[in-house]
Amino acid sequence: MENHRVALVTGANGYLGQCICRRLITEISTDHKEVEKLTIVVTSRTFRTVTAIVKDLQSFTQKLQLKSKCKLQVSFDYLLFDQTDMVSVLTASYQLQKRFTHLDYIFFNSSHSQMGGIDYWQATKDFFTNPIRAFTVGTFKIQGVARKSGDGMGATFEANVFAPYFLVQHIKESLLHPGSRLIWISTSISLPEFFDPNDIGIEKSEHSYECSKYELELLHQATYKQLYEKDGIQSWLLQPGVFKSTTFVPTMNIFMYISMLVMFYICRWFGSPYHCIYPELASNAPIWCALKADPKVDSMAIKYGSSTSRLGSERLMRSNVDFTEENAALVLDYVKGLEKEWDEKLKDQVLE
Amino acid sequence: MEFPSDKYGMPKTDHTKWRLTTDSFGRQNWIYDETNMSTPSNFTRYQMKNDFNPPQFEPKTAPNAREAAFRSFKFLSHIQDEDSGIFPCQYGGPMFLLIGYVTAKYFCKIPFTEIEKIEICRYIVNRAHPVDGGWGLHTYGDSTVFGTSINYVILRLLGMSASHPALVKARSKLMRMGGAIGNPMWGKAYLSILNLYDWSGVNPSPPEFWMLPYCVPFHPGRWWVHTRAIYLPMGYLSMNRCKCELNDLLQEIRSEIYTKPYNSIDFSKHRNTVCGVDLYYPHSKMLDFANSMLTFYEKRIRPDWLKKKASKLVIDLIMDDMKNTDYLAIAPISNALNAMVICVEKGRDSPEMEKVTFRWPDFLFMTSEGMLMSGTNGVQVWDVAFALQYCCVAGFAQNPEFKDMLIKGYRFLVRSQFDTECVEGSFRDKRSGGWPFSTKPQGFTVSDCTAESIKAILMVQNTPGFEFLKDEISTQRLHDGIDVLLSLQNKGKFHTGAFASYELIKGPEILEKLNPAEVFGNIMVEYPYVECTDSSILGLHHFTLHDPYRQDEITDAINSAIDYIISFQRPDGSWYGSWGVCFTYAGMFALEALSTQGYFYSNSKVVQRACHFLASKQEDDGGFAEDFRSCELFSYVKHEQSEVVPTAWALIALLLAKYPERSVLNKAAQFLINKQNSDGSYDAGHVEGVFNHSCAIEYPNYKFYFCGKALGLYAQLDENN
Repeated sequence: MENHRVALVTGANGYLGQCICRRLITEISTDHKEVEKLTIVVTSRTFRTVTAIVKDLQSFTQKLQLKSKCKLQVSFDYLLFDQTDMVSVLTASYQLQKRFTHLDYIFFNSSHSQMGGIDYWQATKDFFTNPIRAFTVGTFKIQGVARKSGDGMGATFEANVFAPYFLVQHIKESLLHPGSRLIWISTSISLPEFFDPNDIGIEKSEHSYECSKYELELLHQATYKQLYEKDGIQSWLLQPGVFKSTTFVPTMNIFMYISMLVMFYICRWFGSPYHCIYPELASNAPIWCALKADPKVDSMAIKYGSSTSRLGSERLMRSNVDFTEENAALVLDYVKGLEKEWDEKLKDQVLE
Repeated sequence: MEFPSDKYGMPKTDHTKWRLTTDSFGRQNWIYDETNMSTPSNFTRYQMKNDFNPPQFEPKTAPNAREAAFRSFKFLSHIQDEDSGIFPCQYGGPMFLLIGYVTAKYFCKIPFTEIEKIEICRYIVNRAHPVDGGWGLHTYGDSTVFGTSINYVILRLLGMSASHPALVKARSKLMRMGGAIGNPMWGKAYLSILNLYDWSGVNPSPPEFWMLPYCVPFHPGRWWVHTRAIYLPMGYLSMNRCKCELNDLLQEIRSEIYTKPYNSIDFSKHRNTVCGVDLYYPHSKMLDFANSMLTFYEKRIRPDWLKKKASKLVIDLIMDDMKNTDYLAIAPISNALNAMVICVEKGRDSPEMEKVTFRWPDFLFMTSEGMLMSGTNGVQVWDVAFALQYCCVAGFAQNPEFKDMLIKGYRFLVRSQFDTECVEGSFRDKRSGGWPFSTKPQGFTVSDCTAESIKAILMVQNTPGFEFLKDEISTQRLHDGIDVLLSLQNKGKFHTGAFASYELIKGPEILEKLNPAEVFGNIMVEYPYVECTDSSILGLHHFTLHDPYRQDEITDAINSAIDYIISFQRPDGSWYGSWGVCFTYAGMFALEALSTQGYFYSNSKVVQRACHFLASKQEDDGGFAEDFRSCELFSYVKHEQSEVVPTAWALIALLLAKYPERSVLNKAAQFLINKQNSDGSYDAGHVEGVFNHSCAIEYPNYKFYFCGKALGLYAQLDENN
């Protein structure tokens, strides 16, 4: 087990997901020579994105192995997995338990958002009134009111909060072990102002993405201690900074894209530590949490972050999550209640 | 063993009454003997788990590899069909074959028997995804709209209620995937025939292409045999908008498989709507443009006289194909589509229709899980050729226990060689002298089957004590086989030296940009295959050991084939397998072919890299564990546990390459010995085969003769020292 590591990377086809996979391969092969085999399990909702990412990673690995003559054997596998469909989540749990005896890293990277596009008028206003905040938080993104999934839950809540929690609960006994790391990728814009204790299921919010990420952070605060003390499972929370992400870049045209890049650079030069801009830098914190974080020295209560200097050199930032124990407990209770409900609904689902 | 169908309380036939019957050409027909008076064959007993009592060996685990190899072949001989000499098997896995048969019967208004209704439903329910209840392209795959919608429709057409829990579960999955509107092209076509979709929403496949001159690079006659065999009848059915009459049941199904009311759907807007989960091979822009143009052409330009002319051409070509294949067609999909065209053109009660329906049982295969449709009408020649060769290679050719098996198998192979040419004008090549994959009536030459059959025949007839068999096949006939084989080697600018599957590569690879199927890769033209090339080398090489006919040409052919093999080795030392799982399978064939030309671990970097790759995949228990997903990802994926078939393949590869690390070989052999049952058999494990990169298919006999070969070769390591 020591010399074979298995990493599950959800949404590996996104820009950040791809960089996480590449850095994992590179850094394990150079800094963790005790590891002989690494298996990266990529997930997506569709088959062709899986084959594309694996092809790309294979080619990357081959080049790396030729250049550095590293001995690490890298193999790949995949799961088709839709976080807005609980039967799909159960299928993922079933398939993982069938195929593997352990999971060492789970990067909860994929996330659901309702980004529909850019509100140009708002963007123009914000550019003149508060440009740094505008291009850090993305005040002009169009999300709309939270939509429901086919399971009747708020889709963003289900995908970003409940489904990952449910999956962890189902595979904990069989696949997670002391030393396994859950790496929760949140966002720099998960602000407590979006949280509504009366809408934990995020069915009414107009900021469903930010709210879901904040709830994820609350859930983390409510669970990491017990997971570690009882089962030795580590949970690390991070935000990857502001970078060109698959959540919005594909909705842009070339003019918008260049304007965005220019504004990002300007923010960085004005001292913003968040503007990593490129997913390679954004993957710093996830990889640090996976390979370097030491629970004896580093606190799991902290929110780590990918960060840069003005000139773009990589930094790791640390911040505290702004929360109350009461709200964290509320989210945990809500999610536990849902878990019970879905365990009951799905109790006869598997038939073989 | 309790199957899901048992847990649901579904009806079941009396499994003791099924019988597999064959004829001298290896036809496999399952009949239900109500009287139960006829004696079931050993294979029937084995397959239906009905009072099967093969000889048991003592001690339960073989004490050494030689004994284990013997037991494996002994078991195989026990289930050999006495009359035909074949080794029957369930060639299952794909889940898009029964839909053709069921649609054809429903469309042609040919009633289903109660027996087949019961057992087809059982099979489909038993092969549903254990968690989401849907079906995929194949039984080992994730659920897709294609698999789920067509199998759901089959269950409804065969009488299952929409409120049955299995259907409720499947329907829920289908709805979550967006409903049947997201079907890939073939699904849309089947549903259109059943009047559960509209032809206006299916991309065109105009049969007029067949009227173009053959020199046109995209003439269908240049396409891969399976693809053109399917598009010929599908083009007719599409052009003529053939569909079933609407009835109450079809109305009900219409309301069940879509997320919106049927009448509110404008199908013409959904030609390119394919669910993301199904879409393995997205359309190129070229194809989308071509489809738009062709749709316009079909709607506004194509005159009636041209439609009539094209229809006539199609039925003529179909009838030629029926003559070439004795009404089988190349495989069940084209068979079912052809049947519908013949029904429309010739009539349901015509003698032609009777001949078609006579062949239908050749594709249905009974299992304890229910009745499935095989990928082709069987694996007869392929399995027999290997079984005979490996029995010899393992050192048992002169063992009297196997004399009968070898003679029966040999005679089957001799009977199976083609001795007639195809109908003129049917876009087929010279075939007399070649061998098929399944049976002589099926009529399609395959390169590797021809090569392996020649090798098997030569091996057996040159074994002391079997010389009398030489009289049963003339030297001329073997020369004809070599002629066909040599004619299949590609010599053009591209892929020189390589062998493809059925024919030479006749069309440009750019045609793949027009691949409309969405679910299969590399289907438009023939492609070079490492495994077919390897087998061809083996056949040609073995021939030269016994006969100087065309020696120089054969030497050249082998040399260019070897160059091709070497050029296709991947940087990690592996070869990608297109017909078996995957790198282990192709690696075995490549190393065997290379070994016949003197390439071994000690003298070849190619072989060293290949051996290192394979050896690095050995698991702690000594076995090998390649998963089908390797084929999909083009990257080695480990299966959840070691399996005997990949272990046998790896062991064979390393032994023939003369790999020096003895411990690797020992552990693999011991794994095979330990996994063997006390009757010499092996249990079914992970799927062994694949086609078109995306579909898994079972080869149940592999576990018997490949393990036998591996153990036999391993035993000889020490025996020869």
